[in-house]
Amino acid sequence: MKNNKITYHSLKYEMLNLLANGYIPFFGIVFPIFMMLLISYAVGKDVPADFTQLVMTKIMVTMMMIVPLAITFLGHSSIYSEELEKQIPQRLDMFGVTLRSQLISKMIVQFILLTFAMGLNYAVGFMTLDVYTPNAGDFLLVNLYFYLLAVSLFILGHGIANWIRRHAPAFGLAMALYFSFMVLGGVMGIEVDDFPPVMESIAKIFPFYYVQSLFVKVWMGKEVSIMPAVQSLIFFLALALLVFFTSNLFHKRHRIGFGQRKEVTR
Amino acid sequence: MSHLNINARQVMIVHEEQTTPAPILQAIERITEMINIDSLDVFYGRYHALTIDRPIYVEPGDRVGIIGSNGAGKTTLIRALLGQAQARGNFSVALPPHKIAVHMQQNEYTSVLPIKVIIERIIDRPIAEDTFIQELISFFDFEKNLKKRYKTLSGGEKQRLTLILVLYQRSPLVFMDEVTSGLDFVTRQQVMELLVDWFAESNQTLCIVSHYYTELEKLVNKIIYLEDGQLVDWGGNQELFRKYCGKTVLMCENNVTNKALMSGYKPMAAPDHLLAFSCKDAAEEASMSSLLRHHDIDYRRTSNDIELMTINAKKYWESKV
Repeated sequence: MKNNKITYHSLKYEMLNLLANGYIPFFGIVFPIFMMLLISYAVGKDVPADFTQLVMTKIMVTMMMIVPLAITFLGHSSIYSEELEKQIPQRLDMFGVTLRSQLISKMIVQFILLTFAMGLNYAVGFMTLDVYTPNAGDFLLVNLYFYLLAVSLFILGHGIANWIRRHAPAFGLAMALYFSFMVLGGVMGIEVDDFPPVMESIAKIFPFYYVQSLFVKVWMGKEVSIMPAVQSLIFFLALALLVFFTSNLFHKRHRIGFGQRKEVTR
Repeated sequence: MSHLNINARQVMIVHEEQTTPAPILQAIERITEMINIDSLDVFYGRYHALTIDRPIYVEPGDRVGIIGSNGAGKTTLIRALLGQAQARGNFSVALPPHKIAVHMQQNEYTSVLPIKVIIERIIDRPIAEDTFIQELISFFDFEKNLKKRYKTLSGGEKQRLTLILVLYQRSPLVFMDEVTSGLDFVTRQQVMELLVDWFAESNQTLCIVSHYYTELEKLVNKIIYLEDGQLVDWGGNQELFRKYCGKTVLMCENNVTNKALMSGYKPMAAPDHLLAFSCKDAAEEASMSSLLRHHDIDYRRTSNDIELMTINAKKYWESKV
């Protein structure tokens, strides 16, 4: 009997599966908070008092980018590629738990955890750092950007796992991209304003660049055009969808994958 | 071992009534052939993995052993019937793939979660609220494993977990591929005994792939014998035994003394360590038995030895090919 439903047990299973896999709690919850506190402490001493609030806000908003990167991208591609390597989705599908139900359950718990992790980051940031308090509209806009980024990253991570279907290479590629995206977003030591021209040109293609260069200003209530960020987000989403759909096409062409059962009757 | 006081077929019908519309249920009840193959060819790319060119049919309630050497096409046949391999031909399965319960060779689950969480995910309700899963867990003596993680289970426990979940599906048609592979002798026998007990009380149709013929003898009533991707023969156990071995066979140790003693009888193909003699009638069997007993030779009589049947069937098939 096929079970397409999203239920308490499907969500409980996927949530425990996420939390038990170590990567996500560390990279998605502990690491961003640790980085935010470490960098704010290291930088804070040298910042003139007039600029403290700007710098601390920039650190908090920029570090927030790590959360969707770690949870919906690195975490999902890591866990799902391992499951595909062991053919767990196929096994569950044979028990009637459809791939659709598995995928939707995964996505829901990813976004529940993402919300929790972002909330925790904000709570720690507001309690420990002297950050600017945004108005509700700006706060929602910045976080809408993070959620859309998380959706794109989930699709990309899923596509990578589905293409490769082996944990080690998929995790290696996802980890390389994870650090590359963080560098392009100005998280890894060099701020986006200090990028060399060539690197800046590359960084502007991807939506991570605009978190620090644009959405920190949105957070602080400044009038800025977010069109470049929207364009890069659309480009990134298209790229993710391309990887996702081609991974399905590739496996359909090369073998009958899970969920692609073929009935031949008389 | 606990006894299951429930007829699996009855449970299946109750389950089907809860979820399946009446016309479909009636259609399942009316099925006269679970599997019907007139012809079947499976290709992996250009590799021709399996050819079946003679009709095979499996009736409801049949227990079919699918046997043959490694690479014979046993798993390929199951995958073709499940629609997981690209197959051509004229064949049908009475149920769509998602209504068939399947125990494949590789059955992995997430290694980091307690078994209880995995089971509840699959059955989509708490174990405490489902008497059928509780009885299966008890039948397979699995209670103590519910809090363990999958990676900490032994090979036998892992197989039992999948068996519980496969049988929970209450499907009229069950495929099992190498259920006991990788298990030690004792565990293998335990798992097979549990299966024999279960299917003794159920009229589910079973197609099981196995290399362990002695254990299959207790479980199956039909055999599909494949070699090199081709069908050697198929039919009832007794029917195939009589076809290739005769009514009864007497077997004794293969040594010089026994060879000399039995030189008046023509030996048939048998495992290297045995001498086997087909008895064409009761008189010949009595004569051979008497001779062996008179010389105090240990011997065994069989009318249903799958291994002996396959050796002789293969010899005949190879001579034809």
